[in-house]
Amino acid sequence: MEIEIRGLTKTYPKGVQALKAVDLSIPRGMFGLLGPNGAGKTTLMRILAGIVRPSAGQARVGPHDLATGEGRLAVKRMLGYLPQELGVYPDLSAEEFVDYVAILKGLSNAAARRARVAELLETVGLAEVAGRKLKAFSGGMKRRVGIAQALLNDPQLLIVDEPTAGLDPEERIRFRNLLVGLAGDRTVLLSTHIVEDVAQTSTRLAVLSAGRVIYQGETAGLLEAARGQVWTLDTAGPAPLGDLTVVSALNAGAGTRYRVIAPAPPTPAAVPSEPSLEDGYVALMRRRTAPLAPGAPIAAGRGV
Amino acid sequence: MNLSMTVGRPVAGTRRGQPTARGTFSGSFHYEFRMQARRPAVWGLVLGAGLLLAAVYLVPSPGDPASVIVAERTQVFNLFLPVTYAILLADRWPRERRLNTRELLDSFPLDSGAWLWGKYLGAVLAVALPALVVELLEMGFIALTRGDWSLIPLALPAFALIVGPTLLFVGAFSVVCAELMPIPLYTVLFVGYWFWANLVSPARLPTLNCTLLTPSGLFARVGLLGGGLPPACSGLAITAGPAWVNIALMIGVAILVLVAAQTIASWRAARR
Repeated sequence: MEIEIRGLTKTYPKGVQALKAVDLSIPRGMFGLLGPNGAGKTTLMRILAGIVRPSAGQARVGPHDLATGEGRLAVKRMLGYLPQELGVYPDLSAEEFVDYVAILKGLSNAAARRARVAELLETVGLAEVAGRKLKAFSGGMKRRVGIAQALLNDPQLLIVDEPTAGLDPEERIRFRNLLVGLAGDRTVLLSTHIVEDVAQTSTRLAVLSAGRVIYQGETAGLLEAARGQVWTLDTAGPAPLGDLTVVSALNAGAGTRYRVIAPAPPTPAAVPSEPSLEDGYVALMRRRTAPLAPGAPIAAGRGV
Repeated sequence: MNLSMTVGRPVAGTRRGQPTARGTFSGSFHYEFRMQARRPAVWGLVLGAGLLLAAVYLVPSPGDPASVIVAERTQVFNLFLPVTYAILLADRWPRERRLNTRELLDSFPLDSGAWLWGKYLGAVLAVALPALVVELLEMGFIALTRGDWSLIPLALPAFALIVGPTLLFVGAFSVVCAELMPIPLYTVLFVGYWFWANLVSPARLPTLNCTLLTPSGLFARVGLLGGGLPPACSGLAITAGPAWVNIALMIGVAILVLVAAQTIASWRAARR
């Protein structure tokens, strides 16, 4: 299920413009959507989930136009959605909650529904606590319930918004592996502000900033945004200053080792380094905040 | 913990289901009833208030026939217990917002009207359960003291005709009003409305009391089950006809209010 977005704009009733003429192509498979908080990722997810209507432009999921009621309904029928803030009923057990969602998604055959609920709770590792009330679940366990409900109808489009927020490292790995496993024959759209999550799961991504797509293309291509701008600097003195962004600071005995993004060496002692994906993301964000000529290319891959 | 997971193919018959209005209604009804009936507050508040009322108004007139005793006792309870119904039903819709469940529900291809009706009736039925228990305990106690067990089978139609329409009416208003204003404000306004519409004498103040819009079950009691009029309504002649009209009006207003709630929800969805 491929997604084509052209000139997509969303302005909320109070005048806040969350998306500004977004153009994006999302192919089948795993696709990462990266961006800082407030970049418009959740609005884009909600439009693609058929929850919010676009103000202008076009968004199509396969043959379905999300500007129409029929299109949104058709997309919802093939959708699995895990919102950023997953709401659950605390007085239902995990099994009851997923069963309730299954009914609302149209799984009417009771025996088949029970089997599917049990299968998915087993898949997300909650079979042993299926009868426990959700109010006793940790944040990570609730996210797993969220994934189970999203998979009930074997969705062709799976949208997960910040699925690893608040999870411990082991649960994050578990989630990432699950998402990659799901992406084989469907489109999985992973929205996150955690670069590592995209790096470990997606070969293609888009970066959103202030409601605009500022990069789309190969995940590896994001590295190029930082090439020649990553420096390592060991110093016992104060932190480096100037036109730079400190990506990391590591205490190294007598001094501190800084990794910085800067267009030129911040000091003569600075050593050039190979960029990581996170460096590429930071470099992209730096360029975005700097004044740009209209229409100027801003990134390797397909800058917009 | 196994860090790799795979998802098997779905069980036959579950792939990409198409929800029907009937399925949505039954699911919403079933689970809303289950959640509401599990709340200790539902049982504690209704049973507590009911037993308190029974203690205050314990012994009926010894000479009255069984049907009159049942009808009068049921209506006396129905003058006060609806305040507890309103409190217990008012949070059911704001709760969805508080729990953040609406976003998930909005992503389903469901019939929002069927979901709303299922939720409404499930919540109302769950509150009706402890109210019915209060009714049966009360009638059981009176039957025991009078040695007249014919009261018990009369309790069910009395409950259905007097309490049923009130519950539907109060439940519908609790749905809409609690969406439009804070719950504490709604509760205060409801208590004021309820006592104004049911207990104030029309001779003292313009009121809905003693009119076809009286929501306490007065018309059903006098017109269908037997018994006298309260002094405030002494000029009225209530027969079966006005009693049925009163019941129909209560249910009709409840339906109108629910349709309004549905319209408000659709309007809000369209603005997103």
